[in-house]
Amino acid sequence: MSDKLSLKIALAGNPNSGKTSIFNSITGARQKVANFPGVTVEKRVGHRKYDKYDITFVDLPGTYSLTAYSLDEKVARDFIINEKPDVIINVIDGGNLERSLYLTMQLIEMGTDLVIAINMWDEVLESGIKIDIEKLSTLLGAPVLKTIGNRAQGIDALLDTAIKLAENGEELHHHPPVTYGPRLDDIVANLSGEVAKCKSCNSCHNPRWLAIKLLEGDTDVKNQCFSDKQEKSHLVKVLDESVAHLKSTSADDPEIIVTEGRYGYVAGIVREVMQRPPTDRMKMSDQIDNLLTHRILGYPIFLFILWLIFQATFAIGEYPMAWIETAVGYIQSGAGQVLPDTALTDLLIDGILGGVGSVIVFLPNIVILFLGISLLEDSGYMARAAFLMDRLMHFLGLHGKSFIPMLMGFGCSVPAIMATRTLESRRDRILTILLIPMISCSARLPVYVLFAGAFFGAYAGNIIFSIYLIGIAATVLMARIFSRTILKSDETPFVMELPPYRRPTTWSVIIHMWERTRMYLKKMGGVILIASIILWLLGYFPKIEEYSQDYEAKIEQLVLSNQPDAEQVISELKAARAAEDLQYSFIGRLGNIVSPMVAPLGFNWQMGVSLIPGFVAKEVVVSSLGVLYFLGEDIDESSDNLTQALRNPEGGITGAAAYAFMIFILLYTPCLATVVAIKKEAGTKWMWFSIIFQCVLAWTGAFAVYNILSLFGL
Amino acid sequence: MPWFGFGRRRRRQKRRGQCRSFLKGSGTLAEMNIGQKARVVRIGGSGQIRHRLIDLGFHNGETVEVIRTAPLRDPIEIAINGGRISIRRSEAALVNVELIPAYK
Repeated sequence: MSDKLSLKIALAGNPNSGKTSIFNSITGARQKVANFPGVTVEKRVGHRKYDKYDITFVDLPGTYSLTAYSLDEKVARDFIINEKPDVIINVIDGGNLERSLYLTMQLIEMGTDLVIAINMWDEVLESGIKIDIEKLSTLLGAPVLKTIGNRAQGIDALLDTAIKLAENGEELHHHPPVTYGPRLDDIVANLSGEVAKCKSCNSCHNPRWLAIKLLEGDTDVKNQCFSDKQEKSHLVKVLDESVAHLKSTSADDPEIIVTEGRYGYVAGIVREVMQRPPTDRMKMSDQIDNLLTHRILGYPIFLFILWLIFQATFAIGEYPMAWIETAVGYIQSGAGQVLPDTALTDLLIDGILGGVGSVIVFLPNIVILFLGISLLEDSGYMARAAFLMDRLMHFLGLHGKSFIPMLMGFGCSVPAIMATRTLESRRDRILTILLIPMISCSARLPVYVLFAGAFFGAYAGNIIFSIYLIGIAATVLMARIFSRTILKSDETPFVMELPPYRRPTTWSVIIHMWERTRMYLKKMGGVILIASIILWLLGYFPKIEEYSQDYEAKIEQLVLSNQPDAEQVISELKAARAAEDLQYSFIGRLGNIVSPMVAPLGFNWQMGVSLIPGFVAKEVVVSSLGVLYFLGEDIDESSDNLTQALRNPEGGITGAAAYAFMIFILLYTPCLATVVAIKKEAGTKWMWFSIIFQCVLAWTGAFAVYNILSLFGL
Repeated sequence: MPWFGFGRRRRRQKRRGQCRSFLKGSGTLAEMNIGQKARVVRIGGSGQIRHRLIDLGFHNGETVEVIRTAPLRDPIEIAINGGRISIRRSEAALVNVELIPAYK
């Protein structure tokens, strides 16, 4: 597409202003959108060919201002400074004009080419707020447009304006300078004059913006401006003089004076362009919150909602699960009859179909769980959960905001770990990252569903709920320990926006669910398929050369002998042969090493072996068990499914061992993808800490649970 | 500073003036009660927390109203700028306010 001209457009705005939904509408991407602050933690890139341009769109994390205090603000600011996008689309929540414009002012000060999109225009109309768009545009010196991001309205007009701006920026944008009142303006003018002379800083940006940032005491800008030693001394002198002058005339420090000036300017604009109706747009939300964050009912409702989601995951998921199970069984037996009896057929039926089949069964559970989570996120309840949980999280040495990543951890640890970027302090981030793997992610669900279903029948839903609760308890305990030992430090502030409740749009929920489903299927196609094949190979080779007895001859003899119990003896012999095969194979040998280690937990060797590939992804535990149990058997004869195979008393698994196994799965080393995410977010040291710590914790926990439950005769 | 308590603890707090009371005149955001409205007069604190408060719309002259408290009394929900913000009492204590008397 070399004939297309390339453009770079960034989307900036407050958290929860709907940048991502506009981004999705423009690029057709399917990024996750939710109704709580801080969903986009990394900048995301998308492309769109429009008119004669090939446009790169960058969705920046939401920020309230452009200071360098939290990581996502830094990401946004660095992008604007270093990458110099051609146009910035500033997405504004129409219901919250004042605070949104506070950021807009800073973008204007930076001297960027700006298009302002007043998003959620439908809500603005509904709530009766009147905004004079034309006047706003004149006052800001930038084009202002109305959009409804989640319904893709106003998007083309937005693109047209952005392109026009990029083509002839000079003509369209005449930002009037933000005035801070005569006193401050003089000082800013003086300082920016000095900054403009200075080579090391004026190379990159608007001197006026730099001057203001210097007055605000922005450390990043200071470091950059003062990089040249010669110029530094002069600039420091001028800055100190300005600050001293300001301090002499006012009780407040310069930072406050600057922000007051900016807010004053914004307030002036808002007064002129906006008319607020007498009714509060939060009225509805307040009424809902009267119930959902009620003093007494708040927690029970919260727990009930979580319980409902997990119960639905199991109870409703059961039906499609049974259909898929049957379908996989038909395919397996059908393939067994059609294909020749070779090693490759065995690989296909037992390895691939057996492995992937036993995981695909859990797809309905995953879909339902994510339906629940996305409803919570999109409605705005997630932020209320943080509000409710803050006092309790405080007890853990964290704040309510950490609760959101942790809650996401119930879905998948990887995005949860990514979401910790919204936390301001590194200490909070590391603590949250260490705790997330203990929250039971959805990949562990198949293991619970399998074992709880096999051993606890009608109580399965409650048993799984108890596992989740134990996960939460372990998280609480470890948080207390960590925040008092290795991660001792002051806490960071908890100030968070509570967005109005919104009706989740069907489209957004579908996108969300589809993304998760796709991820799950992709994981199965990739990692789990490979793990299944490797595992099958490990179980199939090396081939035994000499059995302890000549099975073939004996079976043949029996077939010919017409003995009354021949059938039974034959199947016993076959099973014995299969067991010998397995024990001789690589897996058998591996199992022999692992078994003594997990024997105190009541696990049989199949369970022990399945834990090893479980490191790749926790669902693989189920597929491994599938492969391990059916490996030796002739698939035509076996009508047993995995559940029955596990329950078979010969396997030697007691209820206590099954429960201990679920505990072990809950707590042991996070999957490969999570480990990679931890390494990326917290560093190698914490990654190793997490791996080793979790293994030790899992073993100890499972050991305790097994022995206690065994005492009660389970 | 615990402002809640029962029996002896409550009486001791009362004696020392530590128990919860309706804010009169001026004080901090943390001392306000549900339904009270006030005007921000000063933002205390420093560094990150102060910045976060400012970014979220706390600045001199702005009107704030306490909407509710979380079930465990902390954090509190504040109406500011037509939106809702959740803030801990310890942080709300950094915001000095002047009560707006209620006219009915």
